[in-house]
Amino acid sequence: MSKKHITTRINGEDVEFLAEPGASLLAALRDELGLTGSKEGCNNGNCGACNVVFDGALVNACCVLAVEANGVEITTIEGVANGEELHPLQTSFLENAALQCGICTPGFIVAAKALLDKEPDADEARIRHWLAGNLCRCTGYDKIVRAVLDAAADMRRTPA
Amino acid sequence: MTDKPNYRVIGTRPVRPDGIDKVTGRAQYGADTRLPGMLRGYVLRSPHAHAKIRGIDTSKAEALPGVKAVMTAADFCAPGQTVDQLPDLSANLMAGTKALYRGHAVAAVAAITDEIARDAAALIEVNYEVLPPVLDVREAMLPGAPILHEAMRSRTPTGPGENPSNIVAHTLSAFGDADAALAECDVVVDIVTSTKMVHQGYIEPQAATATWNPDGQVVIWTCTQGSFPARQNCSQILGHPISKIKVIPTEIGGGFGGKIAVYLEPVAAVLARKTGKPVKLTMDRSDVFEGTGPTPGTSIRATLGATKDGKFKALKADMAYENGAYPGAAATYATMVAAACYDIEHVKIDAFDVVVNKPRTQDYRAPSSPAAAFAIEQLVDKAAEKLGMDPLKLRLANSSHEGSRGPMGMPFSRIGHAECVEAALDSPHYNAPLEGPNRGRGVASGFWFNVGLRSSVNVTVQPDGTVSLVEGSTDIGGTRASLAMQLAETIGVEYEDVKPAVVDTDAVGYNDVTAGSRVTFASGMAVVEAGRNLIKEMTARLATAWNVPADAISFSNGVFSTADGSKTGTFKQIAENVVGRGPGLTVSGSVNAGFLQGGGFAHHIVDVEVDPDTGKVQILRYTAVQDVGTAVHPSYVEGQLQGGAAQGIGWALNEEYYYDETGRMVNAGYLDYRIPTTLDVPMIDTILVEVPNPLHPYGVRGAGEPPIVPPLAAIANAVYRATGQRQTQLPMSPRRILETTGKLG
Amino acid sequence: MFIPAMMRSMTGGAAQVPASGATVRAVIEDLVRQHPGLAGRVVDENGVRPELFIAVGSEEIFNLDQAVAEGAEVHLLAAIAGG
Repeated sequence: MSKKHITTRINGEDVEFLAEPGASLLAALRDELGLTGSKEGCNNGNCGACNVVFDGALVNACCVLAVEANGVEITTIEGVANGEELHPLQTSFLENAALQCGICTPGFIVAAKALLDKEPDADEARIRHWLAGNLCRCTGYDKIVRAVLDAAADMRRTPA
Repeated sequence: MTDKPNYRVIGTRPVRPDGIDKVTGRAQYGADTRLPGMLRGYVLRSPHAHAKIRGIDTSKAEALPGVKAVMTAADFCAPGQTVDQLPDLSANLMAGTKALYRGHAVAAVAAITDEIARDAAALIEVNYEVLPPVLDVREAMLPGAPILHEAMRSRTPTGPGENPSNIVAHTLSAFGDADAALAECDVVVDIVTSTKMVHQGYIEPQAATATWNPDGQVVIWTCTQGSFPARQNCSQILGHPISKIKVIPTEIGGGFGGKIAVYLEPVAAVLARKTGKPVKLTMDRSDVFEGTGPTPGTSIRATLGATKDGKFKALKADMAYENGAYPGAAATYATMVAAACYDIEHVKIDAFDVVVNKPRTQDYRAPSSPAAAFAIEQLVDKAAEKLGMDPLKLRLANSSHEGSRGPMGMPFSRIGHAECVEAALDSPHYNAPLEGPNRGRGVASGFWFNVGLRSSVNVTVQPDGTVSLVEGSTDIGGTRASLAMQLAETIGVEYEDVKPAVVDTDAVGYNDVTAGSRVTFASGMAVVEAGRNLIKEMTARLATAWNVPADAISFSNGVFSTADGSKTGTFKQIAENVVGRGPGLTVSGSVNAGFLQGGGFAHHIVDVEVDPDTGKVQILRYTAVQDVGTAVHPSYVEGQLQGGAAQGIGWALNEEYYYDETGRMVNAGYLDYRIPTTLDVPMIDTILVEVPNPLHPYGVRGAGEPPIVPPLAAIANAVYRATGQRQTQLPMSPRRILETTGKLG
Repeated sequence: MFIPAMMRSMTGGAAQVPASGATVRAVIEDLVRQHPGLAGRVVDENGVRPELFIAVGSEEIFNLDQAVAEGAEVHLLAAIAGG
């Protein structure tokens, strides 16, 4: 089958690329577009390391076909910071030592941002429920959950 | 406890130097390597757990358009060597005459795309003669069991065995006379446990990329725990000199012992040689489960005897550990850790290392210790119950201490097990009442050696008075920060003025693996040595500049000064103004910190609630106590305790390699091999006990491994208090709980 | 002298054997004289075998010429790393 021409918008910029009909959005982001911040941990939707925001919805990029990106607005980890200015979640992850190896971190930050953008008052129980699709093997989640709680408080104090 | 010195940088919690790259997605991990003209590789794996390989026909794969090369084990053979002569190190990477586990690599393809490589692999015809597999460690030991290695003879205390056997070694570790002592004990408790194979579960699958130049220069990018040992292994497997191999470590997405061994690196190198192009290989999650090295399943029988006033007198155990498909020493390790927490006069442990048709096992965080503690720490709990004693006070009364004989026969140096138990006794958690039905509290201790080994660093003074710190130990959990902090402490500069970098195998002296809880300890020693060398060299240069004898200049708290105080300068001032005018200044620090770190001890407290209808165990509260010597960066030390506890919780409650009778792992994915999620663990409280380690200039002790040791037994002890039923098999899944409580069928 | 479990087939199963000498090297030479099966298994021409390490009392030693006091315990130990 021939490749499909895809027009999409990623991190605020118009992007065009050619997609194999069977390729995942994750493969397209990483291999075609060089956006390797989205990680592959399982390639079947279980680990959340490839989380991106897809027309406002949090998805696992490994479970979305690249061709589905046509006409869609996508935010990846590379688009979370505002230029040189880190997002409060990124700052909070650093200050709370919420990463060890760091491979799951992009997925957690994208997922947590998707939550806090909609539910700025999310409490620990809600955060744990929302992040249950993101696997981390290093931290035991304690410092991740605290980092998200801190960032939420920070964002409530200084709304974007 | 001795008073803690008043450190300036150590004990603070700065942001890690590599942090921004990791929260913005810029950090380059194993699979992120991209080179011009790069091919993609794919590894074909055996669908059978045990099979002779009669032949491999790769012609159809080679004929597929886009395929550039295909390799088999024959490509690892030296001239004149045949595949049946390959050493285990090579044969585990690519099966020669026999596939010994499902997932065992048999061939690999390089092609212009990942899809074509996969399609080509499906065209490789492997002629298998399927053999019956043996999957259970005790069954593998029986006469008549299918034999994995016809040439293998058991090593036993009385010499080699006569017949082929799956028992690699029978190791007897004995002090005193355990049988006689047990006969005289007032209280004797015993247990029979079994645990299943579990995986380290690092989120980043293995990945490697290689180039092979016409002059034989090989470069390998890989997410390894040890770039220098990886280079050594690649050299052995490829029969290629070390001087012609450069390993460039990428960032590493978790390892826990599972990324010490090489898997893809030599395969990528051979495919690069055959194609003349860069080749990248990545594993998917099922490859990781089936084709890399998990930690052994075990079968343990153990007996503990005590006097009526609660003094442990004798421990006797029989421990069988799976090594997977090739010989290892997992059970031998177990003899060296099993009784380490307690001062027991009479110990006898028979340990059996056994091969089975499962992946070759590798180290996993405190290897061999958690499964042994699952048995021993439940025995201690049983003894406490029989004696009517508090389980912590019983542990305290029998604790190992400085001078008491450790499990290898030698006396311990300054250790902190008793201090951990005391801290647990004093903890808010242990003193809070636990109320409500189906709830229970459990405790357990754990031990790991922690090792030193070899580390090297280079330190260079920059023109602006900052320093760069060049390391060779890959950073998995924040060691750039913990090493930069130790350098800042030593040379009296701000943490922010130290710029650490992890470099390749050509750029710094030898470094052993990032494992054994050694980097902050041993690389820290190398950093301190380099720092002291730097001050010495700067003092010499300063003597010339100030026109005073070098011994008239002292250095303390980051300031150089003459004895009369007439001339002074901070490190940064001298670096900028004096060193900056002279030739470049780079110093090294290299250490062999040996095998002994003095030992790390942990103690955990856990409250659980068991759902009587579903059998699900919920962790209500968890506290991890550990002697960490000196916590250089307390947040990252806490993180080690929390992460280790969570891995132990997964091991205790959910995780197992689940096999069908053909030897197929039926849960080779994260959906069915369930590692803990945010919903499975609560906040994990930590108590950092700091008994400074006399072997390290700042008192550091390795912190990474001990925290995975106690959780298995601590949770089992808690479930017992909640249900009245002992849990002797892992995982304590809902089904298992219902079976033991009689609520199932 | 304490012998690690994996090498006891060379000492007739004994975990502890007496050996004498003024330095660690001399003690090991005496051990090998008594138990020739250990020749080349503890030290070779380049020093201590990489699969072993040696401690006197609770202290690991790196110099085979280190003095050993009368009655001291010399431990041969299996090298181990971890995850």
